[in-house]
Amino acid sequence: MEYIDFFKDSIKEAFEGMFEEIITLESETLAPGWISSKGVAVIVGLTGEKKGRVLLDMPLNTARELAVRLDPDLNDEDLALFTVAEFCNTASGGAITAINDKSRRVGLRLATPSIFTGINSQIFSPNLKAVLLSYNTRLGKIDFHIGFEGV
Amino acid sequence: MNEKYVNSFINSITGVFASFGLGEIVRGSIYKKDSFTCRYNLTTIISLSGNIKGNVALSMPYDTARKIASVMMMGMEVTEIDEISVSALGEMANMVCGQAAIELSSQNVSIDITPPTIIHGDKMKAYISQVETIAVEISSSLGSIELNLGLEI
Repeated sequence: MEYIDFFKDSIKEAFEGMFEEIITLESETLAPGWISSKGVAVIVGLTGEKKGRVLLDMPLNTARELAVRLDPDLNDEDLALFTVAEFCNTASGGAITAINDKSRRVGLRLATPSIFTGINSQIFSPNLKAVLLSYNTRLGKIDFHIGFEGV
Repeated sequence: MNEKYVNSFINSITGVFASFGLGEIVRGSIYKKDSFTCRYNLTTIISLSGNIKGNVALSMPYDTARKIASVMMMGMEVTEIDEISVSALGEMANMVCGQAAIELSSQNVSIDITPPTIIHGDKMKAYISQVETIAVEISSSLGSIELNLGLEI
């Protein structure tokens, strides 16, 4: 995918900047059609010349652990969800800023994040071609599914 | 949240249902939520950017989802939630948001919409806005739908 390196750079910078933890890209593959969520899914929509979405997926416990990295006294599930949504928003925003700087024609814009939790959640985005970036962190595995229409 | 935004999406659902010959929908109660615990198992979500930013989620039970997908697929029987049926549901959500965008553009509100994502599961909980979510219960001949608008204006 044309823009994937911008996302890889921005995800690493956002994660290590926010949480002061190391994040390592384990694999980069074509994303499956159906996503079986690990527990928490954050969706950030992308509009502009290209339309798509960034989907961050991780276990709820990893979201809690990441939030505690920012505030050791934090014991609120909703705030943990907002923390990882902000991480996804920051990572996506950094990537689209870099993409727009390189090519003004693309003019990507971010929508506000939406957050989903549930049991046995299945997620599908029709007509998107997506790349799955699977990351290892000390606090658990994190997946980014980055997809655009017609790429 | 400005009433014109809520009405645009309700008008759009009415228009989309009418275009498939599904008769009138009945608007039920409207209420605010800090978050929404999904009453139903399946949710389509489309994000908005432009003059208004946010997310639009249509939440429905599996039975309603199967019936809507069947109508979208020209009466083909839908027995499970698979890639084809969720693509049809995504198209329905796309039509609803697209028509609302057209109506809003006539009021000088310009919005762009993302491709739809469909999520289903058990005990679903969602935040589609960190400000507030307006929920509207809608009854139709195919069953109940909950329209959720999380708009940051």
